[in-house]
Amino acid sequence: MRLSFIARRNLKRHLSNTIRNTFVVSISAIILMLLFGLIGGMEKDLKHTITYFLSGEIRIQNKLYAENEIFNPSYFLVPNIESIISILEQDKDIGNISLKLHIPVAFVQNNKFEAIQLTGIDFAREQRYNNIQKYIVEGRLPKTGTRELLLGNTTAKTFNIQVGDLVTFTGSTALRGSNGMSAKVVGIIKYPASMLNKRKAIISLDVAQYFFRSPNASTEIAFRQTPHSRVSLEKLAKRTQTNLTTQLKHNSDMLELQTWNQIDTFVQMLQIARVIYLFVGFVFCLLSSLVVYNTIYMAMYTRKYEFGIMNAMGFSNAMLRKIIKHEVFYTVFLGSVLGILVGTILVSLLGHYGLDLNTLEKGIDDSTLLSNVIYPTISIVWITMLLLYNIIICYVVGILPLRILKKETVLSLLKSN
Amino acid sequence: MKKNSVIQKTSSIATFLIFFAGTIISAQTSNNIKTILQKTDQNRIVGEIKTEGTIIIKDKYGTRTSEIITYSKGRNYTLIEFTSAAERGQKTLRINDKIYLYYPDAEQVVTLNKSMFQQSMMNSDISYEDMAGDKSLEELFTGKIEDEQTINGHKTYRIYLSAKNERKTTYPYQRIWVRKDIFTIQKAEYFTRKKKLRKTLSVNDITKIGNIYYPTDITIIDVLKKNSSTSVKTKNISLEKLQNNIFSVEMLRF
Repeated sequence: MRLSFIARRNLKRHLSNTIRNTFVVSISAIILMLLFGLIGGMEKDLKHTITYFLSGEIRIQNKLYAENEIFNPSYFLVPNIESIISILEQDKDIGNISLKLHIPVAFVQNNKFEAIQLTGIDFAREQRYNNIQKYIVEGRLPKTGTRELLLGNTTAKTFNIQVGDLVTFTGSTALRGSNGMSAKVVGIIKYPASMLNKRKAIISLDVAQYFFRSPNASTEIAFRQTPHSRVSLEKLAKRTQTNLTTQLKHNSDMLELQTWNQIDTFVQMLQIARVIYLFVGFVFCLLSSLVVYNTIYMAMYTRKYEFGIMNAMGFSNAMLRKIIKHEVFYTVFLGSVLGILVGTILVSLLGHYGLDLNTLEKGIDDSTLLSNVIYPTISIVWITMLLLYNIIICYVVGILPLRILKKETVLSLLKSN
Repeated sequence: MKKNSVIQKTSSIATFLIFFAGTIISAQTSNNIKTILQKTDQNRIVGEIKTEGTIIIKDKYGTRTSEIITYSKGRNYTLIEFTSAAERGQKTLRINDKIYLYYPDAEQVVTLNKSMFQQSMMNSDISYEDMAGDKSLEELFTGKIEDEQTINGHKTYRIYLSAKNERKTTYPYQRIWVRKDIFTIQKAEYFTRKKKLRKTLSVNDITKIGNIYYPTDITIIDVLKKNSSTSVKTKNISLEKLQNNIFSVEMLRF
């Protein structure tokens, strides 16, 4: 009689044990799927935030800005933005373009000064770029050319400013002098990522340029590829750099083009996020392995008498171990496959409806670039890897209890009834 | 025995004479210091004056220039109006220990509280706290003449000043070089409470207006800023009666 057949028969005979062990293994697989689905969703969300609200897929910036970034060098601007835009718009692979002028200012509130980042935006372009209107929770978008402001919702709450209020702010200018201005708050905006709403105010680009004494300039120009473009981002960035160098009469050498995944800040952010998430995933894997070990160990412990009978009937210890290994393998394989299947369904459902982290919001630092609602996602590659991982780890962990048999004699096994 | 008592008497008399002489010298020196500081104050704190000039700010990013008109009345009132294109219409007003900032595009006048005085004015080496200074040296400091030096061809007293009350002054420890001939400050070093050097001032040119000597070219360096200096050059000075109401917050908008 083949040992694998005996193993399968044993599984049927101890159906409750089998079901329990399979259940534990499948739970382990489901947890892994959900966790890595969440990780995948977070990475995708981070990329979305970066490419839609921060640098775009490709960013044009002053070279000196990046070199001096720790000093918040608002003076290093991209000049001649109108000429640059006309060059960009000629390229059919370049889609929507976003212009931003970042100015560190101080809001004057009750004779106190509060540091805020004021961003000048071309609202018409921004609407095409990321549908900014969608994120207005109160009021409306400022009109171009007017001294009207949008405030991040966290900013408005922190400083108790409402729609209709007049705020005064001061700051340095591009000429390294100082300036002050008052503007009316006409709207409150809530971007998906909480960090984008903290200490943030948005004003029309032309008004920001007037305040900052920087006509026809911005801190950065961000753009994305058209959906149908087949060129890689790196190639598009290089081509754009060449076009700017050849077509711009002045200042092309001061410009730097980077794809979003070349920008040190974001690369580091993603790398750190990935390391943290994988570490958390590893910890969960370890925990689930411990649970599997414990369950299979208890199951074997209760079958000592049966092993004693089989020993007495002529099965050697080696044969017994092989039978048990088969049993563990079938249990682990079935549990893993079931768990991965259920996990895939759950991740798909959560990926459709989203996981709302709002309930945890109070516990989450509002300095995160993650959205409040995450849509878990997982690739076929990860599914395959997790399936293999679960099978291998649970199998290894599941056969560890075999050491029970090494220490026991036939007599001691029979006595354990 | 007799010899010993003579020696004792002689040494006692000598000690007394040395002590007496020392007291007289010290009294004279402190009178000298007091006189020097009083005369220096007379030149520093002017009645009513209007000046037109230029602030030249150099930093690691380059040089920029701002044109200003300054109105001063005694120790407690100063109005600076910026007339260059980049800052036209901006005004900074000091009334006693309060500073007000006016921007043409702002609906409200910004009042600086004391915690903001450390900030630099126009990103220069001059802080708002420096603007709130100009108090009497003689009232606020005790001084010690360290020695005499020649600076730019002028003989000066080098005087070390310690504040009588550290909290009442921006820089409780100062070293100033006062010209012996006209009692104006030729050079100065300003120290924090922990006696760390914070700023230096150099007077490059002086003009006599009426009975006072006015520094028309000064350079201030904030040692905490690398490669940075601020020069204030005054081209027109007039000692004229100023309107009373120009030193008021309401008049800033006009």
